[in-house]
Amino acid sequence: MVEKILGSRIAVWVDDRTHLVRYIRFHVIDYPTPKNLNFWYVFGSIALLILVLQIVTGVFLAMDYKASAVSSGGGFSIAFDSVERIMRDVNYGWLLRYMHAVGASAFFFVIYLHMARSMYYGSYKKPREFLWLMGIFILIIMQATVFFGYLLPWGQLSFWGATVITDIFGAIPGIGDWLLQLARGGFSVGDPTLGRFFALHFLFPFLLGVFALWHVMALHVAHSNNPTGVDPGEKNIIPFHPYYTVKDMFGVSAFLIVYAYFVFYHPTGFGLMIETENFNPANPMQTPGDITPVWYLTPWYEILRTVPNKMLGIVGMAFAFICLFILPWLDRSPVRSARYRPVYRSMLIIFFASIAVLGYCGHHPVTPALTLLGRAAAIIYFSFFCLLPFIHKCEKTKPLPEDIMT
Amino acid sequence: MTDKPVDSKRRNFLWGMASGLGAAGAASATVPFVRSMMPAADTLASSTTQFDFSTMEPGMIKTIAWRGQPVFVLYRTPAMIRQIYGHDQMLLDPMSRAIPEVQADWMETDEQRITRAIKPEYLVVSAICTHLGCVPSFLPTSGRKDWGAVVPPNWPGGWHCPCHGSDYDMSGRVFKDMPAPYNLHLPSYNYINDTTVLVG
Repeated sequence: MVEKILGSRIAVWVDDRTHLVRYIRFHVIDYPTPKNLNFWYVFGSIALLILVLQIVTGVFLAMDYKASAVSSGGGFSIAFDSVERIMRDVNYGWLLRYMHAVGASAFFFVIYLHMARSMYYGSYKKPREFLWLMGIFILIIMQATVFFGYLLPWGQLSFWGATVITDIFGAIPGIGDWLLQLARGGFSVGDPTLGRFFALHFLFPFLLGVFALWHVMALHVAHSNNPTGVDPGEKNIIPFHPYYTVKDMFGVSAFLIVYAYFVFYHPTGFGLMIETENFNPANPMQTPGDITPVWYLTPWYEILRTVPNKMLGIVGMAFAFICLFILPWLDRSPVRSARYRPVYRSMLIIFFASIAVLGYCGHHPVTPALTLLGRAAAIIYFSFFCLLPFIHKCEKTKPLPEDIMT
Repeated sequence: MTDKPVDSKRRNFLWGMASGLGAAGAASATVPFVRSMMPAADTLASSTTQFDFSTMEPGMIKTIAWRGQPVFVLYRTPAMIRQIYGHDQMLLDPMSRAIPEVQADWMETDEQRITRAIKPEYLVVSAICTHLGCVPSFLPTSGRKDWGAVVPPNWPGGWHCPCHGSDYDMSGRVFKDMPAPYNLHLPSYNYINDTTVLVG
């Protein structure tokens, strides 16, 4: 079927003039792939699907959303009202909005699994360091995108989340105040802030799209790693289509079942995906009792707030990302996959647990006990990166397999 | 056309000049874009806010808006004023000297640096936590009786920020070892009659 379409006269005509068919063949048909990729390898395709879903639902939501913090009376604003109008009056507006809100959480969930896979099987190592760098960069753009997007409903957490995060820029010595005004366009988060956040929230997904495509093209130069981390050899290589197109479609179907379950039955994700407090309209005079970012940002937020010093807290959070960026150069072991690295494997599991604990602490109000727990988790987070350059010296790796299929 | 060999020095110079000028032009073209994101003229047109303390009972607190930002106005009872004293060792900057924003030109005596008000009973202080900009909650009674473990055991009464747990006393002075680096800022204000302040 695919051959019939790609070999058709019109396809050949287009290909002669644009090389389009050649690109398609190179990237999705012939792309040589190891035989042994397991289910952990479907999250890239799923992430790409979610990006498309987010852009499509987002563009349609933007047709009815109004980015104005101007009061509409009774403590409400035009932006807040327009979101409620989408929910109540726009045909299927509720579906678009819930798909968009659940999609944001799904995006991070899938990307975190995608990154965990990369760390577990050592996919960030040579020759795929640049893929890893691009991935962390994409993660940061994603976080900026959700940060801009979360302001748009102009609810209490929208407002106060934006206030707290823009205040972080204000703490940078020298240029802090200038940056703060640049971000807010006023003395505090207000109507000018909402306008620019909406524009940037619209722009950034297209940047994400460009970088995601480049990420995929770069993968197809470096080629896919596999769970063993060793070179698959010619005999264990299969073409991407139909083997992995079918496998990824299965993964996508499984994902869509879970996604649809949340969209239709738990669209607020039990207060995790759309936080309950955000159904209150923004009130600049009153901080809600408990400001927590959405779950996918809480680990980084917790690192910020466990440090009892404003500037150092911000440095700590920046360092958490710098550590991720330099990961390929911190790890010096010649063995890729954690399957054959018992010490690295244990460290990695503790590292993932520390992120979960940071996320848990970051989602709850400050208490002395949680602060201690958060600090312990932050220390474990950074210890992982500090120990990584040294463990290959004492780690006794298991023998690598001759063949990836064994 | 001449047969002279290419003067690569000259060519590199021209190349450098042309690309340098192009880069400078592109960089200066960003200025209007960045400037357009800074506060607009109508936002900057600084507004002032009036508040009349005679509308409040002793012990009452209100949050008023000044330039879109919240400001606390607190009518302190004599008991509340007494709560300001006796815990200087727990404070980061008891005399409010760290940065200009926590001081005011009317602060002459130590007494004024401690009460942080022109009239000790009427406190006007920014309601923005100096950590990351939340509005702290007012927890006026001393001790843990009413507030539980969110405040230290020898709590003298004051504000507690719900976001990251910074504590301030009844004068808006920050406690030691808190995420917040400074006392609550003092907006500039003056009295236009016995009980009315003009903020801004």
